[in-house]
Amino acid sequence: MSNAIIKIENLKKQYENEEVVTPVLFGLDFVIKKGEFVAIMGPSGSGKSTLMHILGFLDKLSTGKYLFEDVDVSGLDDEQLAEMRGHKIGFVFQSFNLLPRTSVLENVMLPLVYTKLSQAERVEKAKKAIEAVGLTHRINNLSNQLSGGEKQRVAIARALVNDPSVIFADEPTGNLDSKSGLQIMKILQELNLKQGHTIILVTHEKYTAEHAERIIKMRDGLIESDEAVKNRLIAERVGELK
Amino acid sequence: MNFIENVNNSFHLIKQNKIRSFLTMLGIIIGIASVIMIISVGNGAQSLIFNQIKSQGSNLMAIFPGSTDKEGPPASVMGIVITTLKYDDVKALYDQSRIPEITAYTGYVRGSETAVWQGNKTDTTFIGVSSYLPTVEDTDTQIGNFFTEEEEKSMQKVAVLGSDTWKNLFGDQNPVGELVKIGKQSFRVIGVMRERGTSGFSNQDNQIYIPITVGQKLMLGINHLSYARLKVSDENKLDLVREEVKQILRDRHDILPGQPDDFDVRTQKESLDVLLQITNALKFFLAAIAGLALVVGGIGIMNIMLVSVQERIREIGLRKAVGAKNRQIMIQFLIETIVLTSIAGIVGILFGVLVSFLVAVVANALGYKWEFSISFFSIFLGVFVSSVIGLIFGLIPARRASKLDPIDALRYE
Ligand SMILES: Nc1ncnc2c1ncn2[C@@H]1O[C@H](COP(=O)(O)OP(=O)(O)OP(=O)(O)O)[C@@H](O)[C@H]1O
Ligand SMILES: [Mg+2]
Repeated sequence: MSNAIIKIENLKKQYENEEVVTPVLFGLDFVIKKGEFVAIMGPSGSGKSTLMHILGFLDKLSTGKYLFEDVDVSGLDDEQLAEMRGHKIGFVFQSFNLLPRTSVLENVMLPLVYTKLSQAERVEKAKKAIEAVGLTHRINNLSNQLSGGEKQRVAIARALVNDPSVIFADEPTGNLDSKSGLQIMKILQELNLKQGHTIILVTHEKYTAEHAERIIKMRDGLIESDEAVKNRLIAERVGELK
Repeated sequence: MNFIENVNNSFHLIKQNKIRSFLTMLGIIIGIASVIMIISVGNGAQSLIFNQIKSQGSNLMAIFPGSTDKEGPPASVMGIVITTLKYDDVKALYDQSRIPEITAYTGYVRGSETAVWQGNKTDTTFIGVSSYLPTVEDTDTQIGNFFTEEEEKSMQKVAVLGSDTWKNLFGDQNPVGELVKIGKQSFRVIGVMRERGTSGFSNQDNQIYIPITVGQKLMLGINHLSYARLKVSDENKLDLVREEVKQILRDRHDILPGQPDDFDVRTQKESLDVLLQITNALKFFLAAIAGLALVVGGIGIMNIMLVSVQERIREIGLRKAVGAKNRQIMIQFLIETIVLTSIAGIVGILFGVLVSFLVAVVANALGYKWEFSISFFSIFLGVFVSSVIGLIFGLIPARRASKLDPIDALRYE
């Protein structure tokens, strides 16, 4: 097994609805190695989210090749894809996507509900993930009683809880103020540096992107550049992160 | 998720979405409860009518004015006034002694009036009948006497009170010899009937019997009868007697051969058959209403299910995004729907039975002999239809949503 976790070759995507064909990705190639922290940047509409959804098994590619941990994804059926989503990846959305009127603990436990773990194991794992994002004091709050930053931290805990191989974060700081945004970056960076999680992050902000070790820039469905970050920023603890 | 977790989770989700759950359940509750109620009330009403008619004996024959076809009820019962049947016709049947089997007869006329005694008032029905009424209807007085043929012929203003009318006017006091005003006329009370209960939908105890002659001339100013009844000594000769009665009446009414009767003679059994038809039609009508209630309830369930699934497509997307398989989502929805329909079903059954029971209690309190019965068929029908609708409209959209790519479901607006 190579240390490449994600490998795409000439990946293309076009949306086809009601006879309108919208090509979005025009042939992308890259490799992401285990333990890497990659930021994807690019103007709005350049196809960043589309790419993330395909890599995160939420959407299907049109043509090209996608190898995840050396397995060709195109050969997987619905059930196996669900399996991959449940065990291999964690996804953090810009718009949080928490279950409404549901406690922090239950939200974080959601991915484990579909595993064979016992209830006690689920609670234990969820508590650990909640601790990692510093929300232990909010564990029984309902999702609608949280601030935006707290919601996103719950979403990160949820993405973490099944020990995924890759964490995808699509503009996780996009809806947050700079202070909450920094907290999120601090958490993601710690996950990467201290626990060795592979992280792929989409962002508009150069400043945020420079917390990663590598930046892939996209434009109009193509890769414009793919470079290492020269002076990587390290997020400091901002405010109270209990 | 195993089964128990799924059930727990369902309760949890139902609680979390109180309004949505409540609306869904409301549709099911209304559907089931109304089916149970309507069918129970229909059966109760039918039993009520039948028990009363049967209790009056099977050797009675009724004569209604106007001709009607055998299958339907007499025209006069439907509220049409026909004046061709006279008291002399009925007396003639008896007097001619051509038909020895007729042992008693009475005509009927009736009206509503207020009865007053020393300032006590009660709204009541006065009924002009023959002196033979106690024999015909198989009843008697508890105080005093019924009026005699002489009193009837000489148009005495005498009255026999029903037991409720007596209590309303006099309390426990003996009314015999007192003067009671019925409308504008004063009547001397000569007796009180024993308690008789209800017949059809009228309370036989809140009535005043007066001589038919007085009823026709003084009270109503008419000379026809609403209907008449004959008592026949031998039940087996009813058909024979009917033919003779018909012949005599045709002669008296100068009806030429080939012309139809202008009256209708029915035995008690025939009346029962006709009533059976009427009440069956009523039951059919009620069943149609029950069906309508089910459809309305069903549409309610369907709408709420559709709306809630729209709401939940995003949730389905999220669950799929974190690893739920289609099958797991379907099981979750299935169990949730079953839990919801079961709770609603139980509430609906309890509610329907309770209301049916209350109707029976109230009807009995009002003096009707109302049998409280719940048909298992109605419970089955209500529960079956509601749950099938719940399942279909809960699961089909969920199934569609579970087939979407997670991102399409998540993006759903
Ligand atoms: N379901 C769809 N059907 C058709 N076109 C789509 C669909 N989803 C996205 N697109 C198109 O694909 C292109 C890329 O969209 P995408 O969301 O990947 O952009 P993005 O780089 O994430 O932009 P942003 O920075 O604004 O989030 C857009 O032009 C968009 O209109
Ligand atoms: Mg995007």
